[in-house]
Amino acid sequence: MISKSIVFFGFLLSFIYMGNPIQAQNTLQEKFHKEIISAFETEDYQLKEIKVSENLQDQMKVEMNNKNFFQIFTQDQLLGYAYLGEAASMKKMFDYVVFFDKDLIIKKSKVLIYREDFGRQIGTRRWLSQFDGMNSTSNPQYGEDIAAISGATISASSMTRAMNGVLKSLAVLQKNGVL
Amino acid sequence: MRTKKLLMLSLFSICSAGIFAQEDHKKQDIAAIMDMCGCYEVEFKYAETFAPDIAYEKAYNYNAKALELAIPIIEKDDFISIQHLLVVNDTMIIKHWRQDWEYEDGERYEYVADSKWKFVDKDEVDGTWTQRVFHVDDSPRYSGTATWVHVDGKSFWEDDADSPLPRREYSKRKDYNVMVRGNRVEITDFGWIHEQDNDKIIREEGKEDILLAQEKGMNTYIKVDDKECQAAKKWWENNKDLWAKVRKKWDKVFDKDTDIQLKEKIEDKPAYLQLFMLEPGTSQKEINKIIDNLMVETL
Repeated sequence: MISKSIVFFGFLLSFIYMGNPIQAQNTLQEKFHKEIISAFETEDYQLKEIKVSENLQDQMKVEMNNKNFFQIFTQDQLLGYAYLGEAASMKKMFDYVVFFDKDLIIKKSKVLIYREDFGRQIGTRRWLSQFDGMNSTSNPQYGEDIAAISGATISASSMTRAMNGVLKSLAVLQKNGVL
Repeated sequence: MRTKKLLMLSLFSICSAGIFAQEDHKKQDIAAIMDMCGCYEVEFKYAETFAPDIAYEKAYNYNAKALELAIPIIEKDDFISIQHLLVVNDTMIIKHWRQDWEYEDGERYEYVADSKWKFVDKDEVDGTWTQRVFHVDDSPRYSGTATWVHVDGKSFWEDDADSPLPRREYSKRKDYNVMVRGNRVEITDFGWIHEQDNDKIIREEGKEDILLAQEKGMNTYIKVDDKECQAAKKWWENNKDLWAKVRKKWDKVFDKDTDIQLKEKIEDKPAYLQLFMLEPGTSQKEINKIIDNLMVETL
């Protein structure tokens, strides 16, 4: 049986989405669940929220807190971390997830929900895998170490900035002993 | 009076020309279908192309090669049946798929989902050929009805058909349950090609179909010397009576013109193995019993 923490559902119910919020919550919930199974190859997992003080939040480039940043356990053994974020495409926001291993190295990232026709190339594994292996000391830059995508410039650069922000924020949490 | 005669003569000429044209077209159709017979080196290539969900991860491309004999087992004016046999390592023969072609007959079984087929009888079948494709155990797979086209030196036939998952994905994928095949068969100077534009569909009763992913398929049949398929010819000689009995029983099932549902597994093994492993001398009674046991029920 799949076991998931109550926190997980609490988080999802509190999340605000565009369009039909209940449907969006369910879709995101399903996709997040599916991707955890795929990334960590287990259905038996528990999510534990990570609490971040307001003081630290002010120092971080992106908001990382108990609503979008989790530890993932199986049988009390730490598997890794998951961060759920939002970034901008041309006109709308898209949802993505970043999975870290237990050493806080990016294991996999994935665009979960994309709401436009333009820029969908950022969802390809080939492009997203460029972030794999990065950690809080990495500094991904669009068009330099992250390949530009013709026809998806806005979304691809936005995703790169978002990932950069996640890694910088991770560095703050590590420096302050939260992780 | 003379005008009336001329009018009658003209009408007769027009009708005759129409009939001759139709007969000529049918001859071309039969020639094209028969051109699919022979010994071939086959290359199977599939690649997923588009998916509506950005989170969908495309499956790896599929590539395989085989030596295959396509042997005409029934040749009639309105009906042709072609059995495909795989030749593995020159000597091992595996009964592969079968395709039947029937002229101006719209009766067929359309795949619904979850091993269920619906009986349909298409109207407006003038000049058309219905292709019925069967699994390795001669159970139904998919079918379509369309006209062979002979233009600009090309001969091709194309239609869409709902089908079960292809064998290459049957035991590996659970994320979709119906393949809507866009089938295109074209006769070429080197043999023939079976081109596909497939949709991988999630189908639930009472709900709208969901498109999971699209796929391009290109199966290329390059004609080679018949000698290379000698082992398959010999195998068929030794096994054709057995499979004639199998077809006879299936024909009885299909002649009921009712929807059917088949078991996917028997004793935890794929159902097709029940017929696939039979000895050539197996009796009609035994075969009938096995096929009856494959049926879930007559719906």
